[in-house]
Amino acid sequence: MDLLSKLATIAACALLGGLVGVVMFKMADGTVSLAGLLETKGPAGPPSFSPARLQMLIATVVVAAHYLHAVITNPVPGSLPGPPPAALAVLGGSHAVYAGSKAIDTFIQPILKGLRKRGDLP
Amino acid sequence: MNKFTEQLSRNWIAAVWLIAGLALAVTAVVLVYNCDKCTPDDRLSLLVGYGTLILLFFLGLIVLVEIASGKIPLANLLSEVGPNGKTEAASLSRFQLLMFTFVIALSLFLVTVANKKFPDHLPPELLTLLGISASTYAVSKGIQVSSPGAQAQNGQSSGDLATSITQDQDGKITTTEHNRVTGQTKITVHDPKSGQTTSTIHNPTTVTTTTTVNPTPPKQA
Repeated sequence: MDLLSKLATIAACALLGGLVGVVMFKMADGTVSLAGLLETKGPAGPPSFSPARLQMLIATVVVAAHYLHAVITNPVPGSLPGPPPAALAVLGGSHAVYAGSKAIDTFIQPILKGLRKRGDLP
Repeated sequence: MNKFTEQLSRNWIAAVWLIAGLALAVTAVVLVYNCDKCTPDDRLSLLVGYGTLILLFFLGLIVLVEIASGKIPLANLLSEVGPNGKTEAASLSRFQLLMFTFVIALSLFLVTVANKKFPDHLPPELLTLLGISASTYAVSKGIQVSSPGAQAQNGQSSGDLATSITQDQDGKITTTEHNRVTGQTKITVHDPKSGQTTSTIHNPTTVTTTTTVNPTPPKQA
């Protein structure tokens, strides 16, 4: 039974690691395109750099790395640590800013653009 | 010939997989047979365990190899498909969902390996983390689908397109299509006698009218 569990661990490690590795490699060599990741895509105008996307990307990477570090250095092996509430708050805020920015780009900006075109707005 | 070579290559690869799987199964049977301390129940549970492991491993490996070789394409893994069916730029909400999925899967795997069993309970904060990530993706998708541009492009299917077809005494067929969202009107007149089709598109946003005649009428001398 011991050998079976060791083999299962090796197999799962190979498959999961392989999947992560393949996806990361395909991102690095451009097969999985990351073009336009930080650009707005709303109907308001041509794509442009979006600070809301940048802050969400940074928050995501930081929280993900922090959590992985917490799992690796967990003082109680065998239990899954919960992410700290502060990290959740940061992530939630960041995602709310992103969603809000996207909603403004999609719904508010075209209306403002139309009003400016008609001369109702300076 | 290429198809035959491809078929042969696929069969050859399948044969290698099969032989490797059988070799592993035989090894497992030998291991179980040589287990002196095992009771018949232990042997059965070991055989089922080895069999399941071999099947799952090869299933996962085949999927992984197909992904790596590009037969299962991942090119649009992070790209959004726009309302017009065309692939657009990479989506940040998809990217962060993928990242958190990987991180939590790896964490769960590490903990299971260390504990030799699946954790008894998952912290609610972890589920909140995944929930934030997944709901951002859902909200982003919702905004994208309900955007005015998307609705305009989906006009025909969502009932925003009014179409009328009429035929006059000369047999000319007139099709009028009006999009309530964009305000664009397209009038197509087809004359079955001459075979000519005249299309007129009126765009109220840019205040332009475009007329095309197909086929082009012959020039008069």
